[in-house]
Amino acid sequence: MKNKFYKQSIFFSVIFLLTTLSAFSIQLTPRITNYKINADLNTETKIITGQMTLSWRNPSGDTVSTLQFHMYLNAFKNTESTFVKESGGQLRGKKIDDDDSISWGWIDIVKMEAEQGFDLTRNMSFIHPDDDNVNDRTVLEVALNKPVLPNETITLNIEFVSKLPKIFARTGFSNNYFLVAQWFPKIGVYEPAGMRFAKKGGWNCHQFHGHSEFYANFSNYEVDITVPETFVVGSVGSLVNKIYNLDGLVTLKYIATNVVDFAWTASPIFEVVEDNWNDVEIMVYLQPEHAYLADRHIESVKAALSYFDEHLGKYPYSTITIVDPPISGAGSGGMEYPTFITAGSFWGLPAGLRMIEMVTIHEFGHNYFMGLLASNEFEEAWLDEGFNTYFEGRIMDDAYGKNRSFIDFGKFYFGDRVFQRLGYTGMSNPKIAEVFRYAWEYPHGGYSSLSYNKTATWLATLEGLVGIETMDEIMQTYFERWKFKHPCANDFIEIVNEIVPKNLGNKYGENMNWFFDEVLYGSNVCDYKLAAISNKSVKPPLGILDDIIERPDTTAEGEKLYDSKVIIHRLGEVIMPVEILIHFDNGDEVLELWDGKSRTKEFSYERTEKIEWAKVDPNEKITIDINWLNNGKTLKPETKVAWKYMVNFLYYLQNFLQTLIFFA
Amino acid sequence: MKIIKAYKSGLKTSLNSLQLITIGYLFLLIPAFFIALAYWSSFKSAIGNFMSPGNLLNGFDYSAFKELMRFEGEKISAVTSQGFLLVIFYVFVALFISGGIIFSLNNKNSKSNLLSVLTGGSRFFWRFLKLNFYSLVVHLIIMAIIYLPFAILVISSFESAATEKSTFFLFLPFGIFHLIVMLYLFTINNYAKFALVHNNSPKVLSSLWTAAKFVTRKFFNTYSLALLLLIAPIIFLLGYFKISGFLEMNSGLMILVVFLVQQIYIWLRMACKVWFLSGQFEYYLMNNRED
Ligand SMILES: [Zn+2]
Repeated sequence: MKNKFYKQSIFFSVIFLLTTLSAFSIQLTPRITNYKINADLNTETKIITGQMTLSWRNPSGDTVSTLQFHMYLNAFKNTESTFVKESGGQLRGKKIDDDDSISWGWIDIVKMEAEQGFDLTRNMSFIHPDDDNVNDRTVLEVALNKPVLPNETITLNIEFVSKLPKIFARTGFSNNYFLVAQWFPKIGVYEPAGMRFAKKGGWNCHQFHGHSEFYANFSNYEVDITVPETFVVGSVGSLVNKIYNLDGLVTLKYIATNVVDFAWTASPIFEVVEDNWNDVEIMVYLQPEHAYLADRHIESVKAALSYFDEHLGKYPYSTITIVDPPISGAGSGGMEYPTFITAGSFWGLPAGLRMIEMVTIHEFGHNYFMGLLASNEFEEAWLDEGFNTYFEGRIMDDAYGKNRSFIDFGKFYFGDRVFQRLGYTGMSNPKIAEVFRYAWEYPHGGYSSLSYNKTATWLATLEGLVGIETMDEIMQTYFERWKFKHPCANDFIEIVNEIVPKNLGNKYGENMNWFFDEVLYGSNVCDYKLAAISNKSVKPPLGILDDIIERPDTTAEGEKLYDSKVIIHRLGEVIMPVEILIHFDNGDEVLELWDGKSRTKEFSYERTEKIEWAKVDPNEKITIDINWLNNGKTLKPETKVAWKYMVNFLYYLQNFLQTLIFFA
Repeated sequence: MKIIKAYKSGLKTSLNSLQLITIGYLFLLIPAFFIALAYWSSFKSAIGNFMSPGNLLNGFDYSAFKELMRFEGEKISAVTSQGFLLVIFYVFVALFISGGIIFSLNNKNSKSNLLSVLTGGSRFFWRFLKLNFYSLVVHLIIMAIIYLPFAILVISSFESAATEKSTFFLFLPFGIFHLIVMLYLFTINNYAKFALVHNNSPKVLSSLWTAAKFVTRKFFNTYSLALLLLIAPIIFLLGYFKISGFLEMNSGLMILVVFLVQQIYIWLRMACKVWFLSGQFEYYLMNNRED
């Protein structure tokens, strides 16, 4: 079903406005911030002229005399910003020359007025709380003429101009495609003493970094966007009104309640495909040549909606908008904003390569991990990326099959969770850093492997240890307690420590702190190895055996006895309780439990059967074990595998040679 | 029509040349087999007593495969690089085999056998090497002529609203044109070889030039015949894909079945090569007799 927005009538919109406004009365928590923004986009100069009324309530018991704002478009102003420096200055792979001034982006506050018209413009200065880069202009501090008292609300009128950058990362324009994100002066989070890690009240307002950008108050947004009427617009929240101006421009009013950010998109060539999941309206904004891929976006977002609904909690918003960027604006793909995500596809993408599905599911998941559980991405990126990656893997495997959910090409296939685990275990140095650190402080490309993959993998290990039901209970409790709030590591750990002992008693000790010490705060690796299997005949007794009736080397029936052993080594520093499955040659199996603590462990049996194979962690619960190859040992290895690969190797080699002969 | 006659007669010749085809096939099998055997033994030692590689028999297990390669892959990669060396070395062996086949086809009276392949291969090796070198140079020049405008178009359209679909369709005519030219050059190359062998001429460049004139003069016939001769290998290729899609190598018996299917396919490819050459050679002879 296709539908372009500009067909909606104004009358219809007014009714819509009224119903949406009534939703304000059922707000879930009192909002600290409210934004009312008018934004005019000049699609030629790529400049947005904005007016904004911001109200901010002091949530603390402190008297606050300064405000701090994110001025993120300044990250794209020049090569000296922290963002560009951290991202290696790879502005689309080339240094932008002077002629290319349209490529740069910036934001300026033209005027800032407090109540009674007091001009604050001259009280503004840029600060750089995260590093000593004096050239970074992404955080602005404003000294107030009159401090804000506890629980008091201040209202500011701000005029700003935003020049969008040519897209290389996240936000900007590419020809006539606009993905407008991080585009207005966004107030930081004032953390009262006791909130998250704050010992005393203060602003938490980080610079724009290459790897992190989200931490903001839950806010209500009322945004009027003016663009040429040939443009199709999509946005965070819901469209409530649309007015055609006489000058060929159109103004669209969007309302979003209780969200942490506001972004929007515009392009004259979008094809919009709509669908529904329960009460949620799904809108996909596609490049015309990708329109045939609409179903892949819709089916995957539906899979995510229903999985989250069943396993985590209700999606509380009424819309979800998915933007499909053009290839020239691919840098804006794979991004998340509340109720508004960007995916990424290309024409001819084969069905067996589930990129669209993975990205759509991942970015949608951020509505929960970031959007609703609004942790601080700067300081604890793993708490949104890692948790979200963990759920992405679960949803992908559930929707498309465990073994084929990511890549599915005939005889070559693998699942998303398998891929995630190898993203961590396959690192050249999996000990490079601990997961718990600021997003911009992960060394040497460790950011994604650790904050996404290692975290998803240790969450899968936690699931393996406590079972899926307990894991779901942990996650649901975390969601219920912390939705529309700002949780941190301690809040999650506290819930784990509450639920695991409640459900499993003392199985893993008094609490699970040991687990987090290993996987979150530590950088060591886990590696258990099935080192050896042996089966030795029990020696017959020697000497003069007059009195000996029971022979130790046979059963009462005279069957031969074997002294069989398996030996397991702990090669890594990480200690995990593990299971060991021992398989005897008559098909009998014994499952042993080991606390995994000592460096080596031996299990011995005296039986008439010999051990055929044995396996540490047979159900693959300990996914953070960096080497599963050494987990199992068998005395009868599957040699046919070598034949299979050899026959294929021979065939491909012959084909290569044959091709040479053909052309010779 | 001459080309149908040449096509049929090429088929007849290749059906009568089972020994020649099998000799060519053995040239492919024997060196590759020795390397494959080394591959088998290194793979077997990489697997050792580990259990997870066993999952690779019944289907595919990505983490088992990746971890086997990560922790034990060095043993295997030593052999795969030997395979790579063989491919490099085979660039020359392939010329030798080509010479052997054409020489045998030219020797209608005596039965083609290993001796005729070896004689032809060694007699024409240097001439074929030179010929292929010249052909390669011509091909590279033509590629530059084709793809330079394409590259300029792509770069200039990238600044505007180029999409992957438009870029693909921009590429398509260039790519198709390249394929057409490639077959044309390939055909010239073959007729030049026939001239070298048939006349036992030492003049490589002039043979190439004569062949180019011949193929161009009779472009419709020579080109149609080449296309006709491509049908069989394409059918065999599609047939192989179809059949191998059904076959899972999940037991000793199935590994053997797939091995046989693959080797039959390789043999058929060699038969197609002989058919291709004999069909074109037949056409060459028809025209050179009349001239
Ligand atoms: Zn993410």
